[in-house]
Amino acid sequence: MTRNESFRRKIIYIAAIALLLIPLSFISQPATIKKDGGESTVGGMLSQLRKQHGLSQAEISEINPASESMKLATLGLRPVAVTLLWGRVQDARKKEQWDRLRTSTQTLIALQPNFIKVWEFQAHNLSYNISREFDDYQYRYHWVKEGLSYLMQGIAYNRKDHRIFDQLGFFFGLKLGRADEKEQFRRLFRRDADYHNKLAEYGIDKKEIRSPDLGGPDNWLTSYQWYDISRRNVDEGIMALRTSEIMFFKNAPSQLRNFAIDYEIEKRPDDAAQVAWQKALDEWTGSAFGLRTIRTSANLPIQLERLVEEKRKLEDKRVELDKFFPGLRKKLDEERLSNMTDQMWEVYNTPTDEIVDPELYKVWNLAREIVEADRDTLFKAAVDAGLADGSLMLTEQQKLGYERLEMQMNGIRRELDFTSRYRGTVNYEYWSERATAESQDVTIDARKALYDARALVRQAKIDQQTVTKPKKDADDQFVLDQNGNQVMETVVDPGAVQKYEESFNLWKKVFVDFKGLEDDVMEDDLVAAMQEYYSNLKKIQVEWPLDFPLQRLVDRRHRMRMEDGLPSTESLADRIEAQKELEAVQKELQQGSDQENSDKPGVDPAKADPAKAEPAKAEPAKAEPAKAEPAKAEPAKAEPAKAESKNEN
Amino acid sequence: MVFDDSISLVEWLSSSSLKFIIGAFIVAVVGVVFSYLTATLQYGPSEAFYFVSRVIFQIIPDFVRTSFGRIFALAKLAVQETLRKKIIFVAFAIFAAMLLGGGWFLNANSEHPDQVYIGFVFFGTQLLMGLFGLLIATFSLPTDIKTRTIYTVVTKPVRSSEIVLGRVAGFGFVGTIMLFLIWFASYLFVERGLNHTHNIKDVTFTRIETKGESSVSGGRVSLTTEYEGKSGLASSHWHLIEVSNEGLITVQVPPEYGGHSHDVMVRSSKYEGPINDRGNTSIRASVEDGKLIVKDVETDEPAEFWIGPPTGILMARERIRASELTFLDRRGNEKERGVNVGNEWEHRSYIAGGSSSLARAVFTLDGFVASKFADPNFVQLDLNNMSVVRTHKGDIERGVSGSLVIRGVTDNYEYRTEPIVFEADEFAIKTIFIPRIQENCSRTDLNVAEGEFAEEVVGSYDLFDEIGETGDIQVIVRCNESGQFFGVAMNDLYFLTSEGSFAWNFAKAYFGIWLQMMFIVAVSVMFSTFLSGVVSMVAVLATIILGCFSELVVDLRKGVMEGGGPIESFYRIYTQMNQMTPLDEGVTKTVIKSTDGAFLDAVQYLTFLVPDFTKLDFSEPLVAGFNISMAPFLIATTIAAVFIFMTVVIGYFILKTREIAK
Repeated sequence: MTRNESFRRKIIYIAAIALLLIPLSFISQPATIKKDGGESTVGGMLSQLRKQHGLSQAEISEINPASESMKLATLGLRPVAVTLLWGRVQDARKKEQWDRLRTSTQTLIALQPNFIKVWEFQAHNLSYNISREFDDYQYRYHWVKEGLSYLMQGIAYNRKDHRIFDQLGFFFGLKLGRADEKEQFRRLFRRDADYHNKLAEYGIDKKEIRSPDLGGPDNWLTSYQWYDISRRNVDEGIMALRTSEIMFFKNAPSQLRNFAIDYEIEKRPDDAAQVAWQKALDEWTGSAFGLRTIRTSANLPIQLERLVEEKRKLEDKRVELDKFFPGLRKKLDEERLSNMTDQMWEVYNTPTDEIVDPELYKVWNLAREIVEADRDTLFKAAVDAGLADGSLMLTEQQKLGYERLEMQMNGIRRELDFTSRYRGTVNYEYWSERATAESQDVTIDARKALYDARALVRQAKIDQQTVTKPKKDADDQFVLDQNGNQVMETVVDPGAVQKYEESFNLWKKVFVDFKGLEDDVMEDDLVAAMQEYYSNLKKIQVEWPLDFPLQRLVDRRHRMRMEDGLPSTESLADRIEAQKELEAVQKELQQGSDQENSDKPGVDPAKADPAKAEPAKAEPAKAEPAKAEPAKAEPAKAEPAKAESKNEN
Repeated sequence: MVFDDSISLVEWLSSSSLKFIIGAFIVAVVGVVFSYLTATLQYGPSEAFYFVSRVIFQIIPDFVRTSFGRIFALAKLAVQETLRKKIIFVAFAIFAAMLLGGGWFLNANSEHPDQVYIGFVFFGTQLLMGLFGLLIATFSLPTDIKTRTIYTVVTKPVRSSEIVLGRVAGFGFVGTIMLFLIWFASYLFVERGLNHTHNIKDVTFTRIETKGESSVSGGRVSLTTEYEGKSGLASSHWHLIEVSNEGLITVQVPPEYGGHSHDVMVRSSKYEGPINDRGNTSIRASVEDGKLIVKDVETDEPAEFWIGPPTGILMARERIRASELTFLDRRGNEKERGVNVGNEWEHRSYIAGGSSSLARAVFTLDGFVASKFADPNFVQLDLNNMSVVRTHKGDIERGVSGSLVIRGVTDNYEYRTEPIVFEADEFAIKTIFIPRIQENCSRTDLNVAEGEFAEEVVGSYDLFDEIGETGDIQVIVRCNESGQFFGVAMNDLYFLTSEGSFAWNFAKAYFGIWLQMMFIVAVSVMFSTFLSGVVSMVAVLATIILGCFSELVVDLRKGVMEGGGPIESFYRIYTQMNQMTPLDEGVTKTVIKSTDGAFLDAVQYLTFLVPDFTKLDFSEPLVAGFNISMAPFLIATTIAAVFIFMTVVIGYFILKTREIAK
């Protein structure tokens, strides 16, 4: 190679670089804005594309000099630095070097400030993975907050992304409110005044998150606020929605009901609980969610709350349709239902959980297929067949009207189908019914009784006690006798067992009006309560009552092989039999007694019958075990003595 | 805390010197062969042989006749040159700016702010001193040679060894001065940055409503706490102050700004010091109308009170640590390690708790003598960073309960103290004070005839004179709760003998940086004897990198680190296979493993040629708050001295063989 050749090649390289620089300078031209009213330019192609997709740094994020300098300092090796840092974070976690971990996560986000998954992953790492490494719940809480603060820091760098707000809502709600240490976390959060001030800096209204009855801000209400900010940003078009509408808009209302649920666990249910449930109901079924127009995956607008209305609309259309072929639908129905035998009707009307025989289940399925067949499809098939074979006739105008109606009905049916499915996705039905039920007086009373029962268990007051105490009047003032001394009275203070029973009786009433609740999640709460009740019954050596108000629920779970340890009707068969025999004997005795009394005028037959007068005392189940217990010897002895004296009377 | 300072210099020398001698011998042979080959190209084979032999045989007279005066003169020149270039001022200005600006970015609100502060200044100093040594030493000689100013030196009657030593000494001296200034500034930065106190006078105290639960923070308080209050804000944090029913005051360690607490100090005519100190028997606190009242309960004289400086940070703890840690499994069988609870990091081993479990962690400590303790009447046992694993929730309001027994065996008796029950504090220091006289301690007679029952006497025994009469004791730790586990490592339990000076410890740690800097200077001078400035800088950087990652290379070679060598890593990345999945047996695995093995062997041998930089780094004990003991100190000095000497010798050889004004 000669010197000239080398020189020529260099010149060619330089010329090529210079040539390439020309188009590069054109497409990279920055946009300019003239403040003094002069002409502004849109810039080159790259600048326009950046603007079109909202990718310029100033648009998506706050400009952080430290972050920008760090990115520059890596001299194009940012991915390498990032990979090393991710490894460092993992290594620090493995070696339990928490400060190093924190520093590395901070450096990491300085290099990747607009990558939302980094914020999400590392915040989750801090709040969930690192926090659980600590044994002391106070440190756990601190690390949960570290993750939350990390996310909050990400807000400024991701102005157009709602996912950070959603994550904040998720963490504040579920991490603080559903973790094993939720009781402690919620308590620490309520008292964490410094942190509340920090939240205020990010737009959280301290008044809105405060639950005065619980003594401070609540994590669920804070979670609601984050979701609400996210929702507002999306509604106002500031942020583009990056997830399915149904899943996004369900978030905020769900937090209000979570608040109500936890409120009732931590505090004796009262008016405030009722208000909380009412708010949750309004939010769930109102314009915030139930009446909000939601776009489905097929871009079809639906409203979850309008299911009934849509169904009615469909029914109206059906009536209109029937006018073209009077009597056809009725005839089809009769034909269809004529296939139902009496046994099929009986099986069909039996609750499914009570059907245990597989053969009967087949019958039920068959019956269901007949009864719940798609009447519109059958109708249409009959019409099409009739029109084809000439047994049904329509004029051209009628045909047009019929087809238009058919089309309208198809549209409604499609909408109904989506609405039903979407309602199922978010368990809309259940939560609507639950919130409605929970805001009723009877439910509040049922919960109050349950709360009291648990409080009495903690005080070791299991059974009712007869106590003598000063009498009080309606104004809560002590009643005094003529000498100015307090008047004493003997009252029966209910114990935990009685309170549990009161609660179960009330729940039974609730389930009469709200059948859906009994079959769903809420039964788990009640099963726990029933287990507590049963264990306390054992403590006072009393057997499971044969007339237990929620026995149906116990039996159903038993049939579904859910081992709760509670006595099913099947396991109580012997006792039920004994009870029946006893009742038969009592009936005979009563008849004999009536006969005797009719011979002795002036004696009230009811008073004369000990079984009627004291039915509970006559129950052998309660009296028998009490005899075996020496400590209970006195009351146990007293009861038969009473019964005997009554018999003597 | 994973550093290990248990190896003494003698142990280290006996395990490492042979490797080093072999390594040095190989280097010497390779060096001679390489020199001979190079000289052959220049002078021909026979002339080269004489040339190389002459140089080798001149080394001894050259070094013996080395003049300290000339070295001093050359060192002086090096110092003048450095000052003339003003690098020292630039470097110090950079450091000052770093300290001034660093304070804004340092997160003091961490569990261990001291670690953040020390880590920051330490890393900054290491980086700066490394760069300083590199820049002043690598460019000096090549520039002198290029500009021919070296002629003014080599034309004088100076030896090559004196030129190399003079430069190393001169640059080292400037670096030492600079390091001293940086140490002083750093110490002030750390100490002033972390030292603080809180206002207690204006604190409003409230009565605890639920026993053991704070109404202020919502967290835990001691079961004996009657009143609580929030201290004044300082360094962006506050502490919960607890007043116990005995009139003592505890300042809680806040989780968010952890790592430290404070003593509440009191002063009266009879006593001055922490209110909780055992020496204080009469000054007690009470709360009236929400205000704290501190007085001498015997004389009713009011006492002054204030919150003292932070405790638990900036420490230099002197300790008696365990020399051995063994385990007993659930059935009481001795094991080297405890249970693995599934942690990837196997630093700690776990013992299962519960009354039916015989699992124990047995720490053996020697040198347990009263004279080592500042107060032998109450010895302080620390459980440092002990780990807790729960398999069920248990009582999360309290820590998991454990107990420990001190066991001592003499010629005649075996002693076992009554179990000392404690509540575990994870990732914190759990301090237990143990009185010298152990009540209810059992003593079993060992001198019993076969078949006779050993008599066990329960009584009070002296911890040093009886239980630890031989100077060796065992501390046996157990977890009391079923289903829960304690995880321990050797360094997790120790007796605190005294608190050393943090400033002195800080200086000792900086000595490690000084050794690093001196090595960098020496190696830079060595490379600059035959390479240009930029190339020698790259060569020094490669040496430092090799020194920093030598442990990694050894771990990779041993298979301690997952993922294998470069070829295996590449293969895993390409096939998207995770590190834990074993490679399929077959030719591919054999080829990959053998290629990687050969490559890592070569790299591992290379690491023997440079000092292990991690051995010259004392930041870990400093950060962990332990006094840097003499053993690692001596080992580091030996490593640095040997390697500096070797580089000087190599530098001498190279300079000797170069044709500079000869």
